[in-house]
Amino acid sequence: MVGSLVGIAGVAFSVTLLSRSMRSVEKIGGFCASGGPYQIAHTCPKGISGLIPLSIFGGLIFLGLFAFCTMAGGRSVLLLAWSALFLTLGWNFIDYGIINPVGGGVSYGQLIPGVLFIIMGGVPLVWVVPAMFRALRGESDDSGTTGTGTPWIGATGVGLSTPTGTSTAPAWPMTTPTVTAPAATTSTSTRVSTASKPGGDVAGELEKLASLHKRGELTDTEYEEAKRKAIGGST
Amino acid sequence: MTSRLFILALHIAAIFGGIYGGFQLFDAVTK
Repeated sequence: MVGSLVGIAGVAFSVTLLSRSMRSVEKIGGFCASGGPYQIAHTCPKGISGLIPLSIFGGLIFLGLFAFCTMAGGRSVLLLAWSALFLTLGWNFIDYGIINPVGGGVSYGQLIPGVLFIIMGGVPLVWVVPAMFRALRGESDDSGTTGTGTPWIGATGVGLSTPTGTSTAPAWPMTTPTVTAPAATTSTSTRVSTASKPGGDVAGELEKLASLHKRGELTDTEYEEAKRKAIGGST
Repeated sequence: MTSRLFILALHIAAIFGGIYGGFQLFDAVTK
């Protein structure tokens, strides 16, 4: 809890620092340099050459801390950091692109990356915002199968609604491998699973069973029995 | 639900705290 709070505060801190640093460079034309053997015409504002690397690496470290310390539901909002970063920097680009403080007028060199950044930051919100509300309502469990509809977030965020047998790591058996009495539990699970999808995706079901069997979590007998039920349940 | 809202409120407060800290550090370094 404390770790996730520190992590999320640190990410906000780093994004703010990066954004402010970027704006201070934008004010002097969008580029600068410090040090080196040559005479620098565009020197960086004071402290910027240290603040920018600090904000980038600090942000990554804090993001890692948040991911490590938060619960499964919280991990589904990790992508907010991406949106925060790109929306903030995109706004900076657009802000200084509309009125270029050095040359005056519109700077397309700033506007184009600005629009791209806004799109890159805004599109993930379509998935992240609903995932946040689902996490808030407690619709995700703590076992790692978050079911957030965003299976590409987090290592264990594969939802129960994996559509067909295309996945090589089926979501359904994720909670069953540790069962110590596989005979009863597995066949029950299979029954529930096939019953919940009458006439449904038999091929996907068979693939899942084959995967379980291959991993040694179903004996030959159990596998044959479950397979029969899967096929029988669909007819 | 209440505890989740409390946790959410804490995290939102942490975000604002982080933003405030970012502004403060930037001002302190670049002043």
